[in-house]
Amino acid sequence: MTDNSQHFLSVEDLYVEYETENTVVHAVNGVSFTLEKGHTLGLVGETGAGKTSIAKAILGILPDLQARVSCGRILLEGRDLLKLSEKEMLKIRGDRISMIFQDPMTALNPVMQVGSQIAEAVRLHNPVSRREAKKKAVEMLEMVGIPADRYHEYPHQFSGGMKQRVVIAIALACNPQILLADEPTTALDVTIQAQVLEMIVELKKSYSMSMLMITHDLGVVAEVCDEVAVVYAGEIVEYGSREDLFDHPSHPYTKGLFGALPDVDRDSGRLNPVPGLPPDPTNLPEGCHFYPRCSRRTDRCRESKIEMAEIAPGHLCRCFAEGK
Amino acid sequence: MIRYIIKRLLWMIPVILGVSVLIFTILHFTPGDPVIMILGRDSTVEAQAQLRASMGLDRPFPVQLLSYLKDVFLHFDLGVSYNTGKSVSEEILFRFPYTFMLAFSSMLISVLIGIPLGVIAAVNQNKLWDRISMFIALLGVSMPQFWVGLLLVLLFALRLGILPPSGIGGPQYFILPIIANAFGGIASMARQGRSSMLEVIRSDYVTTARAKGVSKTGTIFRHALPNALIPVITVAGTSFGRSLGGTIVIESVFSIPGIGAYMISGINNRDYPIVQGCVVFLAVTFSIIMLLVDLMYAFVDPRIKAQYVSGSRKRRVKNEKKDR
Repeated sequence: MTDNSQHFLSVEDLYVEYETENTVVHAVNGVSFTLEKGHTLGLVGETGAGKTSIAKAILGILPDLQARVSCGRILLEGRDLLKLSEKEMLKIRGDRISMIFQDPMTALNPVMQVGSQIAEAVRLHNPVSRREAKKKAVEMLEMVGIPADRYHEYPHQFSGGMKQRVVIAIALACNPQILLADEPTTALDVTIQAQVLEMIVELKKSYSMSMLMITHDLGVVAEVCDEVAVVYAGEIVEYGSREDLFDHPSHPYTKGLFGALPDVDRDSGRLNPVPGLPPDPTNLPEGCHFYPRCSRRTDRCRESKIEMAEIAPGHLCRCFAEGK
Repeated sequence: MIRYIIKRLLWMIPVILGVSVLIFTILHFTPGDPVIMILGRDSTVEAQAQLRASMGLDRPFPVQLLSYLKDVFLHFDLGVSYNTGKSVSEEILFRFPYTFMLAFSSMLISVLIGIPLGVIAAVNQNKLWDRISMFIALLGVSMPQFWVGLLLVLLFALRLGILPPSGIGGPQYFILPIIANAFGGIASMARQGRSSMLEVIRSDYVTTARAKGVSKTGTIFRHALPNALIPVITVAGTSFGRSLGGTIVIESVFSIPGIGAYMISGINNRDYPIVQGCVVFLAVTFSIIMLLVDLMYAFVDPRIKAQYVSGSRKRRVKNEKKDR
């Protein structure tokens, strides 16, 4: 993992901090991963683990007043996105990398016709006339399964699932190479979830995009991801292929996540949730961040930060207990 | 939409009726006899009785009220001044252009200066520009209109001698009153604009816009501002509606023969028809302005428009079903 320039997208040692009046929230603490062309990487973790901050940092849309990337590199085909000017980033956002948001209810501008919200993205990145942009926007609408005659309607006239389809249409309007999907199905009904997820996967294939799938739903991971990174308190604690992770979950936290899943085959009655709460990101525990909740902790875990160690080829884990 | 407007116009009738009854009743039972005001305390009782009979003030209260309402609603006649014998309606119509000119241009200036100030403040939250515009706003809120007016007269009329201090004539006579009147408006617009912009620029759809690659100015003007306008329109509309009934202080300071000055003279001389006429006129203009404000909401926000037309739409759908 030393020379990352040949990777398609690589994130190296990324730190994101949010500053409020007198506290600093450490949202992302030294995250590194790579994403290859056509692959899907899943970022799995609890709410508040820093998954969304990673995606927003890649796209450069962290709220500029409070948040900042304090350290790290984000290389897209060897070019560091963090060093690009705002003007250069504008060309990348929505064109080469785009994002689907968690809550479709609030992600669309309520006073703008849905069609023009798609056409806006088209016009920003392609030298086309208004009419051509509209034509493209209509195509996108139909592609996500919305009839063209709803072009002039407003978001409040759409259901949640329909809105998420519009958000997807906006994200894909310029054939991006990387799609950052931030819990795209969390806010939807279960039946709609399956539809939307299936659509994302199909579109991803037909556009041959890379995808960063942010989720807390292991079911989604099983369905769409090639590689998985488990994020805890702003750190990747385990990284590996989907098979590695599902067959040999190694980090105590990953095991905890699987333990919290109901198993239909074995009628186990009670679930085994991870005890305790995620740590306070303004005041992270020393050493291993998972220490206070860990069932296999030793005194050593508190002493220093634990590095990622390869426990099997391509399967990395941040835990002493699994390190050897 | 037209149905909605007609409905609202019809609603104005009970509002104006209520205002007329209230103001007439209150003034009727207010201490102070207009007959004595006209003839003086040392006039003979016979002369007073004669005048009272000729003015119709000797009739019982309900009869007087009904005849007043009849005049107002059936003949649009607001009565005649006790002192001058001139028609109140004519006098109001004669004075209205001055008041309208003053109110409209002050509103325009407050909007044109106040909204940009608010936007600048919100976009640069807690930075120098925010502090500067909020300082201006604070000045505007805390300085009473008459005092601003007097200061302006001192500087521009007495010291510099470039503008007339008071009265009416060419357009230059309006400059100082408009500035004095707009000052408070600018301040409230800026504060309202800032707070609603702050709310909107943190919303998800602004992030969506940024993720599309819309530039910072683009997100502010195309996405945030239209959503932030509703509270601003409310403030602008309310203050405009109120000042159409006469900006009493400014008209007095600058001796402008507007409706506010007219009402003050009516109050001082116990000239009840003038006071009643001005209040009823204010009720009418205020209702009309509020209707316009509501229509503007619908223009700005499609969700509100949907509420206005929903009644007729449902009916249409029902009829369509019947047709089948």
